[in-house]
Amino acid sequence: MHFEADSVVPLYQQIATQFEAGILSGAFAEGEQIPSTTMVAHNYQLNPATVLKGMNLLVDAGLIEKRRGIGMFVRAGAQAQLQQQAQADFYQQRVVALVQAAKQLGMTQADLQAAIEKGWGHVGD
Amino acid sequence: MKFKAMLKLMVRWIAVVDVLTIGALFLIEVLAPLLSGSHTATNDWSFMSIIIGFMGGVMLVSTYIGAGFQLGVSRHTMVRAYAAALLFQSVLQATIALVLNQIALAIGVQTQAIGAVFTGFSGQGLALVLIGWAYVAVLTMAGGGVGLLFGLMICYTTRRPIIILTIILCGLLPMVTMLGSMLAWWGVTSLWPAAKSWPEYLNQHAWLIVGLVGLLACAVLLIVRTLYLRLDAPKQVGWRG
Amino acid sequence: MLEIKGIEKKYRFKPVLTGVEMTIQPQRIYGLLGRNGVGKSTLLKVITNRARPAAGTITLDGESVFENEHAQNRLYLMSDARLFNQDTKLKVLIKWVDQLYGGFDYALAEKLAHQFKLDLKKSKLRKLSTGYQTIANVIIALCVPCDYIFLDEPVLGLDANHREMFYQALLATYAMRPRTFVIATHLIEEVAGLLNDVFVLEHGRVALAENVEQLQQRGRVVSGPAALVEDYLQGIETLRTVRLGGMLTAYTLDTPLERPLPSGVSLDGMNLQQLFIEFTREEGEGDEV
Repeated sequence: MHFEADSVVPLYQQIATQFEAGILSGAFAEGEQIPSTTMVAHNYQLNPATVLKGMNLLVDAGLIEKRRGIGMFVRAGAQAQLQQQAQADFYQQRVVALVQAAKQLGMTQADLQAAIEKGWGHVGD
Repeated sequence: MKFKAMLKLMVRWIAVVDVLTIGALFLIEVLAPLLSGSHTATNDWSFMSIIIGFMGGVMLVSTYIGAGFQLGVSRHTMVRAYAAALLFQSVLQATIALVLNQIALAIGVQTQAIGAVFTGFSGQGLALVLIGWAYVAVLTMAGGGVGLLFGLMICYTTRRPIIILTIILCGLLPMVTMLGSMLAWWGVTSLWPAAKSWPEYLNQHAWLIVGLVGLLACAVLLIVRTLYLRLDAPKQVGWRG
Repeated sequence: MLEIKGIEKKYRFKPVLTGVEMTIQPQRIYGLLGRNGVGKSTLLKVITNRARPAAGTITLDGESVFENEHAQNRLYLMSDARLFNQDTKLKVLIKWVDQLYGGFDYALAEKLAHQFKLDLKKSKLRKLSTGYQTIANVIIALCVPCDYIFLDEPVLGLDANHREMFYQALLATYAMRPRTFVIATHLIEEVAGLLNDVFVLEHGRVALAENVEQLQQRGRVVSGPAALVEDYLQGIETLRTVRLGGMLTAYTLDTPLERPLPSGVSLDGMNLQQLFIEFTREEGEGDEV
């Protein structure tokens, strides 16, 4: 995991985002325990309050659950939930920016579509 | 609240140093002359107690002033601890002096006490022995008080020339004090001829001498206290440069 | 809670602290930042009864801390001041700390000493390098049973590895036994992630007292074509502006988030160190090439 100290995104948000990425990719499998607040704080030299705030975002989103005395676990269905969320966000996060960039460079809609077709064919899975 | 802990640290240290110093002095002043054949020893307890008390005061400050500030001890407590430690040193010193003197007498060394007050040590009556004991004690206290002041000065003076100058002055101090007291005596007696009878009077009422020196010790300690309460922690403790 | 009000302190007739106001809460990690010579060490010494202030009050849970051993027993200052005779053995020093504070955590001290490769039993202060003197002092500071630990430049002279070890040790003991740490340091970037809140001392007073996260949300670097940036930041106070040809870069703590960002203008965050530098930059510093 990597955190940017000079990002406009607050640290706690970055922590939540990186854990989400981990859950989405399956690195943190469903039903498995994720590193504790103390462990994350220790490894990245962050204040535990910050880490806890990030983790709580994940709890509120229903992605992880705290089991008293044991730790924090990825909830069943979390990966699917995130995938759905990512697909829904795809337009706003990627497409809008893509179209904006293309327009700024003077490309036409046809140019962009051709580029996408080319990419779909060439870029591996 | 931290008084007892700090005092314990101080006292343990003082006891050791005191016993060692006095033991050494006894060897030099009493045993050595005896072994070399002469049966007399000039044992000026008044001078020695001032010096040992003085050294005790200097060492107390240099060793504990920093610790006091580092370990959350208030200045009020430190002053009380210094005073209590000096008191302990004084009592210890007077007692050891008395004991050593008795031993010296027992083994046949003729000690010539300088200062009429010390005839008490030769065993001429309990009252005089007690006065002698008290005299050594208050002298040690007075010396200790001056030692505290000197110790403070060393800790807070940053310029080496001043320290060296002070050490030289201290070396000259006995002579300076003698000259000073002689001049003062001459001055007082020329203004009040009646004062000439004071020494005789004092010698006959030895407790007065003890009392006066005791007052002097208290005055010095009060000065130490007044100063100490205004101090910031020293930058560094121990020999600089 | 430690409340500091109106603290003034002169050093040889020059005013150093001219009215410091601060509130330090329990069980939080604070950063105390400021340029060289601004008075961070002086303030810490006033709090821990090593220096007497000319004016002001400091109370710990209601009682004044000056000359008050009951309060001072809950505070501890670690600094580079050599207040112990250099011939003292480390283990004697620790014993004194234990005797005066009661409840020194010997187990933790052993563990940390082992990690840092410091021999607690044999070392004499004089024989330790500057770095290891700091390490020894830091270990002691982490093992005293006090509620407010003040660390004045705790990583002075420490190599990068030891610095990281220190931050981790701090977090570990903070997790085990939460208490307040106030860290005065110049290595802001390294320590930023550890902090809850930060104080910036400037011109003898607290110029900034804020939660680090909130502060970082306020700090922004706006960059782009000069006219667009100036327009975007109309009426906004900036910490500094830098012009390079037709491009303008502005550093600010009051980003007008409600205004739409014009295309071509970028908005970036600042890390705590950059923020500090811009906030405390003096006239003329850093302009010359």
